[in-house]
Amino acid sequence: MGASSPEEIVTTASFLGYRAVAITDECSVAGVVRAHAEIKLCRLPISLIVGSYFTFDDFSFVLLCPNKAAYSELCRIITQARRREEKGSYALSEWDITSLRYCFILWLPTGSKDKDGKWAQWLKRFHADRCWIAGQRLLDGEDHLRFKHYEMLFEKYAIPVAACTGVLMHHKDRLPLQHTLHAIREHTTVEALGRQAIANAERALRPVSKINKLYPTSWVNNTQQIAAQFSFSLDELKYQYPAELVPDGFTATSYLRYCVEEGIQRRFPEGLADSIRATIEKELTLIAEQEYEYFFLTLYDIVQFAKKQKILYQGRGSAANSVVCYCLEITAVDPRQINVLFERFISKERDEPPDIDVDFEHQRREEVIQYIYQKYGRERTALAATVIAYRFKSAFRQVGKALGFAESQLDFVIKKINRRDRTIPWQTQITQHGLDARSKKVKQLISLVEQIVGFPRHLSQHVGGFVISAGPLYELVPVENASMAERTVIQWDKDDLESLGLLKVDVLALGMLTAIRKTFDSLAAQYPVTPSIPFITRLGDDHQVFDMICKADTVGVFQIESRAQMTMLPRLKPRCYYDLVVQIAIVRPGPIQGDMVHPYLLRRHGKEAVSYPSTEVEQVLSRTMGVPIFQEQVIQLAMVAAGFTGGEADQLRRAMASWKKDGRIYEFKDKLISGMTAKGYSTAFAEQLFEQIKGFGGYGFPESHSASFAVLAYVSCWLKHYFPVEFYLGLLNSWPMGFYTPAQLIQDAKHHGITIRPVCINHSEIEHTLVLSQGEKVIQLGLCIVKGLSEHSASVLIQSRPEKGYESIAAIQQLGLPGNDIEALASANGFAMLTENRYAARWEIMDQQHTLPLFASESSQHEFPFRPSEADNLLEDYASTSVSLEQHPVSLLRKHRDLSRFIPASNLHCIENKGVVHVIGCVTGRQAPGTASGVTFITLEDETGNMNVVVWQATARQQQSAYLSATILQIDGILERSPEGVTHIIAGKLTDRSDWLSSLRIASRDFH
Amino acid sequence: MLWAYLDFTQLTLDLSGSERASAPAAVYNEQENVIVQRCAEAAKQGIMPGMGLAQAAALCPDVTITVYVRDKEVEHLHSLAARLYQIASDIVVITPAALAIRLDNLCHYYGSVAATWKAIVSELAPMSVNFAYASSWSVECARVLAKANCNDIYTDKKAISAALKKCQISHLDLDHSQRSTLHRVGIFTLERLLSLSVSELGKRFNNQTIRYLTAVRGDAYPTYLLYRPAERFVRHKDVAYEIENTQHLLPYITALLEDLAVFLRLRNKVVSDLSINLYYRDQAATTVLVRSAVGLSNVKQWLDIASLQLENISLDAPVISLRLCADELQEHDAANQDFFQDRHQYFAQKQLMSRLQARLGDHNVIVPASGNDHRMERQTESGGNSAADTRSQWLPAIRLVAPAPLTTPCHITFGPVRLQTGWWDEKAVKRDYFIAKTQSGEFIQIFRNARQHWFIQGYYA
Repeated sequence: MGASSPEEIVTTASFLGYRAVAITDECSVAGVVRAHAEIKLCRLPISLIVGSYFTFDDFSFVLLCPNKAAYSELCRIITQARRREEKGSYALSEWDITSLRYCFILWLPTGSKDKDGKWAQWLKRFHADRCWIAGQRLLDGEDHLRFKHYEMLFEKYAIPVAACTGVLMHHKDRLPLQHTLHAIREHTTVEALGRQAIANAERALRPVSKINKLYPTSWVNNTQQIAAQFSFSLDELKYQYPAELVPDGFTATSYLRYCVEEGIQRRFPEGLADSIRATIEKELTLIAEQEYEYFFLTLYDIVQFAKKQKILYQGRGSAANSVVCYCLEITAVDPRQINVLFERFISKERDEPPDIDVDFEHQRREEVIQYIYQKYGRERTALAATVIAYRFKSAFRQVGKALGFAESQLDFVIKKINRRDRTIPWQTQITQHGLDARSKKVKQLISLVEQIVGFPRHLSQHVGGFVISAGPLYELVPVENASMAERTVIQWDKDDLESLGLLKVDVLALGMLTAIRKTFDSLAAQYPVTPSIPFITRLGDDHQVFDMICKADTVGVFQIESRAQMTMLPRLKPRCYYDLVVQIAIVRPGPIQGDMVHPYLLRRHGKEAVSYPSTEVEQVLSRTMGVPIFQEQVIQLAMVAAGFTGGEADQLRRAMASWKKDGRIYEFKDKLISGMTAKGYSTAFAEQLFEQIKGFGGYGFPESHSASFAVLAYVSCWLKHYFPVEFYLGLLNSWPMGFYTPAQLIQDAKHHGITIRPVCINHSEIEHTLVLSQGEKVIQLGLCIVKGLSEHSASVLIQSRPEKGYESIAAIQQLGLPGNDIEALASANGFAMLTENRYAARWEIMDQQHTLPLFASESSQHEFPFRPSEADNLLEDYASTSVSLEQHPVSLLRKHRDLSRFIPASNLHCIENKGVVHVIGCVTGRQAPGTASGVTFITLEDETGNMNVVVWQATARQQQSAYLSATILQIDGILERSPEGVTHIIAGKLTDRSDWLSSLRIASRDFH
Repeated sequence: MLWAYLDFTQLTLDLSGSERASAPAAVYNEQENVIVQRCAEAAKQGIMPGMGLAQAAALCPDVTITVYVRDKEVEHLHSLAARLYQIASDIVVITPAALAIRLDNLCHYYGSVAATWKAIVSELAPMSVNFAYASSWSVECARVLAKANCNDIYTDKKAISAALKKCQISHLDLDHSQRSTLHRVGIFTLERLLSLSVSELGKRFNNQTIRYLTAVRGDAYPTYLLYRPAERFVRHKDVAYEIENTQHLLPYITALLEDLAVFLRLRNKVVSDLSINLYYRDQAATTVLVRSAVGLSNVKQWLDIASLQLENISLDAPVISLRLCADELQEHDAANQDFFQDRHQYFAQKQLMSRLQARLGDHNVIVPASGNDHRMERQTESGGNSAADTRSQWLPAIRLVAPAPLTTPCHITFGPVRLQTGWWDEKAVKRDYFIAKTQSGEFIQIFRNARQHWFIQGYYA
């Protein structure tokens, strides 16, 4: 119902002189933490009362929490009411409200004598000393009736009346927004709301003087007396960690130390350097001071489970900045390899819990989640929430509908607005698409959309943030059902948890871990040595692997596989692990927009001298040639050059992340610049640093994050180089994951000389498999690649397969599988062993007489007259499996047309720089990154490899049809080659050649 | 048999006249998010049917989009059928946008198939509609040929067969999965499909599909529901002498109404609108519209209303003949006769309304209703819904059309009631309302606006 944020409510209430304000969302406490955090942050002289509004039949009331017991009671009631219903709704039972012992009740009578009489008696019976009538004066023409009714209830039942507004907005100006949100909720227009809408803006926060004028003094006094009885603050909430993790005879601290010491033996078998021992001690001391031991032990327990189950995992985020995490085997990044910045992990000033994300194999993460549920029980475990807020498109559509614009018009405008176009704001763009900016309605639309963007829409579940507690979680925070079955979610999001200092454990999913584990599995089946991630990293930097990386032969590997990364590889030329850490972090919007890429490359290749204004700065920036690339460096700079404490620097990091939203970063500008000038740095250098910090925006990449990713990037490259067959197999069996489709991966595997065998009813398993053929390792495609074939049917086919294989299609039809499944297999040419061709197979399957017992033995007398041509086979392959092993579409076109003037991808190196070039290929990707100011990168694939095409905005605009819809594209353009050998084709003319293979549908990753 | 099939490919565009304009225009189906029609200019810019709105907009930012409304097309199709019904008898209406016309039995009237077709085309010419067409032995076959844009009137079976063989499977009236099934066994053309024996096809397709395919081949002829124009009642009556007094018209009108009652009874219909055309010797005819609030068929009830209406008319010249028309017949609602429902009052009210409207004119009969708006100006309005609202208890009995400045001294007895609403239209209000008592004891509703000016809004009875 409300049209203001909790922050706005508390700030305004405080400004108006209120001593206390209650935030009472309906059957929810989702907003209270934000209000609480705002009061603390701005040190507002106001107390927050936690409460919630409910309706039960014709009984509407607000529960308020005077103390912690009442708060736990409220959380329990909300949880029960929410758990009874599906996500988004709730159902109270009478027992819920009868059993209240601590909460105060503010009753909102309906105005009906009969109904209210019944509830007044009920209240007197069960909650006589803790209930009030919430007396509202709303100046809506009904006040006199309400007041009379309140007086009657008071006289008859002695329930006192307390003045109460039922605030919906912090300021009257929000009335249009309140009406609009109301209309959106009712799926109607503001105009059609009619009398359902509130009649005036009296449900805004009103000045205290006005309240005194509007209400009888006794009512106001009652309200003040109620407020005076509240002593509960959210600060009292203390997280009780599960204690069962600590064995008898240990305290949490001693057990953590014990685990760390054990880890040291495993991680540092050669002994520990003094500096690292010192860091460990520093970390352990701080952990003990902050009482985070249980949190680390909980994580330790989870990763130990994963380890036992042979589920690959890796900690990332700021955890990689901790040696303790390394010793506990939560992370894999050796602290000796990167510069550990402990303040990024835990800081005293910040008084916030450390942020530890652990990635698990995406196909097995559920096992970890189930382990957590089993170990701690569903009462003690729930997922954190994520607040889904209005974004531009949803805001524009919903507000537009509420104002009565036609949906088709809204859709049309939304689809035409180019949000990437930073030169023309959307407010101007909409006028170019038929909305008249001078009209009052359009002005209202613009204003309301601006207001509503960022407003919460609903709660969703966090991808993997678990909250685990010692006692029932519902005493700490309400728990509700998530849309996913068997999942429960708390009413607070990760920022709320952070504000209250509560810890969550992030259990995330990562496809590459699955792929690596599967690769390891197939290697383990062939070789005596069981490979592992530490095994590969311990081997040290392998120059052959880095040679491959420098050639940008990285399709399928982790992180450095995208088009942008692959373009950067030959320029940056990584030669060691740390280069990969830089490589991953540098191809990001932050460094690109902060203009840090070019200076770094120049310095790396010795074309620009590296200089530092001081030795402190040198210490921070020397590892990245004097250019700040990681978030940590910015924090360190603020510390060494401007005298920030660790905690202050971390606040700066958080301000960096959200400066476009709230501009809080400017609060640090003066401190940074004055701090730096005081230490003798030039103002110019200080200003430049501040600009770079801003440039990072929300896109800066922490070194610790990059370091974790670089481990996986290197391991995947190593596997790709030394065991390509197993690696591609692992990738294909882990799909969906990564940047490329199976078809693209298979093409790349073929370019590496790997033989791939097509789907076969008698040779394929469900997954793709590695088979030996005349001593050569080949990949046998599995049934999983066949589109439309259900998992169940695939497993029935495999389980029922006779030892010698199936001998006829009729035998397969006898299995009683759904017709669609068998047809899908036929289309994928899975019956090639049994019939002449796929058309004949499908024709035979279509004849349903075989499935009737009487006709089972009869085969069709007529030979099917049509045979697929090469083109038909190709199209069928693409339609049924998205990939053709027989031939590439372009090579097929070459057979039928004279394509001699088109240069194949493999011959592009023969064309001189700036030369005119004509190419043709299947469009496998279109990318228009936000950092590329309107440029689109198109990837074309022919039978010899990929080609990178650059399409400038003007070129694209003039040739929209080919640019947007071609699946086979001819490009006439100019070849450009950088000194490092990176080749691009700058498109001049785009010609759609899709009709040459008209119905070919190639799965392309458009505009990611 | 020889059927012509006319496939109106862009009826909505034709209807809007966009095709004749030079600007690019397209018709968009909101439900399916696809462009369904586009003009030649839009086609030039690359817009194709089947595209999504985003793609079309990206290809041609200036395109004018009309939303596709199926009912509108169907209505237009019926008007085309009605027009053609003047010159052709056997017409099949295939909604939303196609007609089939049997040609062979019209040769008797027009001399040849070519002449018949010429007549049809010239009848359609003034309507400015685009269509693809073809003729064949069955509607189904002609449809396939029209979908293939044959645009030829075949009379020879061999020519039809030859043309049919060239058609694609996509031209058949099969659903997506059936088409896909055929494509995936390599049957892309009708030539391939028709080369297969019916028994082989019969093993693989359901009866409905086989029936359809045999109709396409011309092996079977389904029956079709032929078009009949909508029913309407029209009766003309000459009077025995020139009538100058409307009262003297009543016997003739009664006779016409009796005919109407029979006509309606036979069809179990009622009407709520009648038009009576009065014809004069030298002047243009005048039309008297007679309305009832409920559908009627009874002679006496209609006569009551008609006579009230005629009382208000003065004849400028003597009437020499008259005509009674009832265009829109309504279903007779049997539920009205429910024995257990006391609907007497409902009908009595409706009949009173009809009489008042007949006597006083439509504009002078206002039904009070509470408007669904907080603003006082919209609290009462004429309309069908007369449900009283509980909130109206402090509303004045008489509301001024425009608020008058408050000049009389008075004191406030009730209020304030604050209204701040209507920001979304041109009539935003921000007012405090009060009930006040004047010195003469009169209760008035007054308000104060944002500029602190006082006005009278209404008076209490």
